[in-house]
Amino acid sequence: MRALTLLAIALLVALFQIATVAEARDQFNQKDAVTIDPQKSYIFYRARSRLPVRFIREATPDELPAWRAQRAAALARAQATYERDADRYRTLTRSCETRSCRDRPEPPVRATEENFDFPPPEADNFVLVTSGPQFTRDGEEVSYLIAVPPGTYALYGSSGMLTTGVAHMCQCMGTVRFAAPAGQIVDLGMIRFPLSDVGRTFVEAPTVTPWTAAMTRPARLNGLPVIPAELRAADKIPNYLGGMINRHPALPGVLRYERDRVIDDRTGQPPAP
Amino acid sequence: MRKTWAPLAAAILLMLPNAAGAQGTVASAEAPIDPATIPMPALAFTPTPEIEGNYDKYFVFNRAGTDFATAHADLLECDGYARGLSHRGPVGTNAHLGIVGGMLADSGSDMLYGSAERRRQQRHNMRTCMRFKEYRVFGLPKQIWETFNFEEGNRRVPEGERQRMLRIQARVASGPAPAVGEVLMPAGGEAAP
Repeated sequence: MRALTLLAIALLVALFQIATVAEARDQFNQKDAVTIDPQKSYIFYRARSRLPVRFIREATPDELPAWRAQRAAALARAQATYERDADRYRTLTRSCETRSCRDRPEPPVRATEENFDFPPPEADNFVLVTSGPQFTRDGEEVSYLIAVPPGTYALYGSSGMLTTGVAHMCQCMGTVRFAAPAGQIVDLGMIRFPLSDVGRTFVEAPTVTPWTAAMTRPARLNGLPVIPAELRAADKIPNYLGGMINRHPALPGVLRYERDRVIDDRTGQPPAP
Repeated sequence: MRKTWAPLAAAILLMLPNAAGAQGTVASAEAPIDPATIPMPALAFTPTPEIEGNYDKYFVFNRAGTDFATAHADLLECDGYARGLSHRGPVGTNAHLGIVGGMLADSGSDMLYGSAERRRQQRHNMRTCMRFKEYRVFGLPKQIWETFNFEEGNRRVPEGERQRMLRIQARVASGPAPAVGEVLMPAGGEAAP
């Protein structure tokens, strides 16, 4: 029985690996030739831990009409549901007047344009860099390169397996963002997992150490349009994945906090939308 | 640069976007609340090693010089980050029991381990968020704590009940600091899950 359990766990781990590789179809391995597609941008970074890293792309103006249509349709459905819930509530309330009810129903709230809770337009714009394939690997030092739609990205968080299941971690209460222009490779510098880098835990929120000239680049990037990421403060982000929350540590010249308010350290003001 | 069938498995395992709503965005459109209408719970107790051993589970927040409206808004925001967590217990580890047996056993595992992990993550998120807002954390005995606090493992707390308790928590957070039970931030802060 113990052997079968171990086999099942091994199968689960293998499935997880297959799944993570599969989602990484835009992620370069150590043999892929790097050819720049002018319609895409590319994110490059170094790391010591091979934990997945999740970015989120800000919505662009041309994505808004489709999002507005989806929101309007969802609102209409919610309002129709409200009518049914209201009928049910009235029925249950009437029955509770004639006999005791252990759990009295709560009155439903009608969804309106103002109170309707619908994910914002960027909620589907995640990019996940998985633990493999790596772009380069030299002992514990690895690097990653992934092709992404051009846009402005925020460092969102990480995901991984715990013994109790899949866990997510996000820098929801303040993070950094950067532009990823078309036809360019953006060098983020080093992604760190402060605890995992020294082998203490498995899922935690990633942090960025900005690129410096002391960081070398793989020879395979020679001759390609590589630019250092211009990091900026990014405001709070919803906990879309329902995971654990954190915030990116302050970065001089980029990001700091006043209590829980995110401050753009260049301007002294909250980040511009 | 491969494209394979596995996004389905990835979606199951990683619980990709759409699994949860826009948490952290729950807003309150209520009229201003008069804190005098909110009962202040009795918080006095004598710490024992057993009570102190559970401070990581049973705690309240307090911040000097904070008014009720601010504390209430802070708690609502943090509750937005801590509600409806997506964590699910391990899937597939009971495959040796067959398809139906495995699913039932997985469900049981989630009831046990997933539920405990969701409660742990909820506590982590509340503490992390409120620490960032510079609140102090004070431990309580479970018997006092459970009269105005809630946790979500396998059940959703009814919204009316949740809001009632959050208002009492705001009363505590904006009132006099508890006399005993302060939980100091561990080295490294709340970053470690």
